[in-house]
Amino acid sequence: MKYKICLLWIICCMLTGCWSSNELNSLGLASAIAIDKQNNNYRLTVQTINPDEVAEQNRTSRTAVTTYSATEETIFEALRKLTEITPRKIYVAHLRIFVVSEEIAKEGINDVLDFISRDHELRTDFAIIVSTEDDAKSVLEIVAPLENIAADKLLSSIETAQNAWGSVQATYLDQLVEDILSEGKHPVLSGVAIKGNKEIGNQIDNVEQVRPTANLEYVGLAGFKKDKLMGWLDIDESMGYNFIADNINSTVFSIPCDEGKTVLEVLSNETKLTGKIQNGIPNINIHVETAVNIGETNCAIETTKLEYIKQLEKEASVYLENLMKSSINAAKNELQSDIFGFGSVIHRSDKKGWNKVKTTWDELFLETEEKFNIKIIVRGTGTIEDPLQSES
Amino acid sequence: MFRRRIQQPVEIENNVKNEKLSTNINVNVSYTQSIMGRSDDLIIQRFSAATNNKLQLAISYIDGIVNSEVINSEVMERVLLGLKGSTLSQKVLNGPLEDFLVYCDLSVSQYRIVHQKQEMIDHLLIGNAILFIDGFSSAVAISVKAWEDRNVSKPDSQTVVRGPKDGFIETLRTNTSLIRRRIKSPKLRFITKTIGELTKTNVCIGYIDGIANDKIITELEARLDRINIDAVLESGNIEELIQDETASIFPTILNTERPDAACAGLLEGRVVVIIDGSPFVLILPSLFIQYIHASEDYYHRTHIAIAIRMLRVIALFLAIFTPSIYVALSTFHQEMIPSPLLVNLASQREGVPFPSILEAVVMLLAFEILHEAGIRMPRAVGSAISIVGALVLGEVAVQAGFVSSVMVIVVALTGICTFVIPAFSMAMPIRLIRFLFLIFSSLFGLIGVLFGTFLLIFHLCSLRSFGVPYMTPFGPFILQEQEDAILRLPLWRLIYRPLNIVQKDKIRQQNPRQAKPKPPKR
Repeated sequence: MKYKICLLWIICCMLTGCWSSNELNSLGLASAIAIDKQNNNYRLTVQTINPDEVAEQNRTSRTAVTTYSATEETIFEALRKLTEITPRKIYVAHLRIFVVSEEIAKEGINDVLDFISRDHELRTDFAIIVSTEDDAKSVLEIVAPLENIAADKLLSSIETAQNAWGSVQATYLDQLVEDILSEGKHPVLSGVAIKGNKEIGNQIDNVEQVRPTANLEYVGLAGFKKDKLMGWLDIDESMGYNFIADNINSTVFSIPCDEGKTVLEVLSNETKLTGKIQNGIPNINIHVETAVNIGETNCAIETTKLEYIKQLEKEASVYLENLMKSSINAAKNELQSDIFGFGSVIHRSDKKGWNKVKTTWDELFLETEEKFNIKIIVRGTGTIEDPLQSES
Repeated sequence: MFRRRIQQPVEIENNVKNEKLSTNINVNVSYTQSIMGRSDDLIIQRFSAATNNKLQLAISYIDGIVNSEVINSEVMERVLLGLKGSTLSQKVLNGPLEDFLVYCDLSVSQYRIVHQKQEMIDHLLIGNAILFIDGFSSAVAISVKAWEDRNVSKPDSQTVVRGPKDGFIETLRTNTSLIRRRIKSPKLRFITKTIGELTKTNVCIGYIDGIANDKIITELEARLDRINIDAVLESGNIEELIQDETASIFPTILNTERPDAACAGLLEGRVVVIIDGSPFVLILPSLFIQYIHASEDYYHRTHIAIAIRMLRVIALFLAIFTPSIYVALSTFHQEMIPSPLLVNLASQREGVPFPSILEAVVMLLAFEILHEAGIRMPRAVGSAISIVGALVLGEVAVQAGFVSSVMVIVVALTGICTFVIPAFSMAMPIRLIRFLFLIFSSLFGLIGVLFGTFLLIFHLCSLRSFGVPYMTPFGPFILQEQEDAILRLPLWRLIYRPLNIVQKDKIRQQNPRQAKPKPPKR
């Protein structure tokens, strides 16, 4: 009897088959998704990878990615409708980039976010960006140089730019949702635009020339209020934002002088924010400590003299202060949105004060007073000392 | 469903056992001849001595397992010369055989007086010469054993880079001598039993008195006595008949071909069982972790030994889990594979017509077949196997698109990892359970693998080897013994013998503080 039960049990196991199993060659790996609005419907565009064109072996002349689009009232329906035109089930766990069109961003991205955070297949480690100038679909249709997959290009480009230039911010799904739900902070997303001829950009010709006809370019940060796009920060304002948000790993900025400019390379940056409500007005202290290196100069300075260095440090701190101020002004005047998270800062450092103002924080943010405390340390002057022209 | 049918053994009336030898030499000789039948390797030589009454004698032996030179020069010549011209009184002829032998001038090291017919036959069969003397109701069994055997040579199955290169052979006495030579202590005991109705195989229990656990020896003897089988041809037969758990694919008795490993076992309080005719000596009780130990671990420097043992543990896990985890990840949990790797894997699977699980099972089966073919094929066709194996099953299969190249890597890694496990008897169950895990993983993904792992752990923890839990020192966890489990601490830290085996003499190094080597003081 025992044996019979055992046998039955084993047979039952076999009968279940391979529940929810998928062979790798039955999946369409989605690398990017773009969402546009079309006549009140969502147009979903999926960029899928052709594995053969990416892996080292078996390459042909086909493109590395293929895009499919479907239009439906809701995103999930559109995704399932895609199976009408795709040979395989779209597998979105390996999504790198999620592009939202500017139009949707202005109307609010909550509907979009609901699907991508509810679906179990999606991870939370893909970057969300806003397409400006063109619709989101065409962003995915650019054949990218260097990286085979346009989504990879977008992701690596945003990460490199964040690390070495500091004008963009890679916002991932979990952070975006957190910012939208948070009371004291509003989210920012990076914006992307197509530069060049996008008609040629979606053909493989685009990468068969040294200078690609079309390329994707990050164009600064999009400031949101809750889930709605309020406006754009330009490159300088974006950089100022990143300094305040302590997102700077390394960047360069220049200080003008009589003869030209001195370029400083940021080696490390640390920004600390503290704040409290004083007489009903929020006060924010921005404490920045930055170590820099002289990267390039055509000014007549003697880098071996301490007073020049002190002078340089002073000028650099003024520059940084202006950079951050311009960013704050843009946020107050154009976006009217606390993208820096000053509210959260006050929440952390002055809980009692925060409880009084949290309901009216969005209005109160416009009256915030900032105090800057910027400390610049010139760590080195590079591998040479005085500028070449002064020696000759 | 599986009802057992046990035939009742037929009771054979066996009076031969207690039947005494006759005083008449003719009766004895014809009895011997009738028992041995027509076998022509039985030699019976009758001769008479030049005594006062022409004493009749006969010597019988089995040709080939005795030294006939010794029989001629040391037995027959001596007996004839010794008795020549002597006058034997009636008192001597009617007295015990021992008194008579004084006249014979035997010059062999060992002889024994036998009284019973069965006993006489037994002696004859193990290679003793039987000397019958007319008028005595007993005979002399003279030890003249000599047969062809293999020289002590390198063990084939357990080779080492550093360490003694001698191995056990098929002769019991040589094997005990190999151990005795290493442990020169009067406490080393060898106790021999004869097992097998027909083979009459000598089975020798070896242990060190005072270190080995008496209960284990008693239990072992009881289990050996319980054996009632016609033949014992190899230690594997004995292993199968005395193991604790029969319904398990895991071995609970370790075997070794290496005298140093057997000695190490003895010194840890274990008991060895040496079987005549087998170069594999059993060591018991044995623990799971012992199967990934090699005797070389103790001959290398401690750091190296620890690193190598860790490597073996990793290899053990890889050998069990690699195929199943690959199948689970690639068919159920694609999100767990890093994106660039996934794209790569997906590209390799393009055009492969079979599901991953089938691919894995077929490739593993092919590997097992190759493995089996490699063991039993004649040496001369070895290169053919490797060409077929490496080229056809590896490269060409991938080129033809039957299997993905990553599957070849997975199978190759699994196969290589299996060979890392030092004990062959443990490598075989590992090869088997791999398939079990594959089935689980193909049905339920990683959850299935986890389920299988639980089953495996439950099973391993339920095993015992002569009463000692198989998974000691992990389950039950014994901190003290971690020092020689996955780790192998320096010898000066290994103060104690395994605590759950040894009960009396637990300390290896009497003065632990002085155990650690130190430079001389200035």
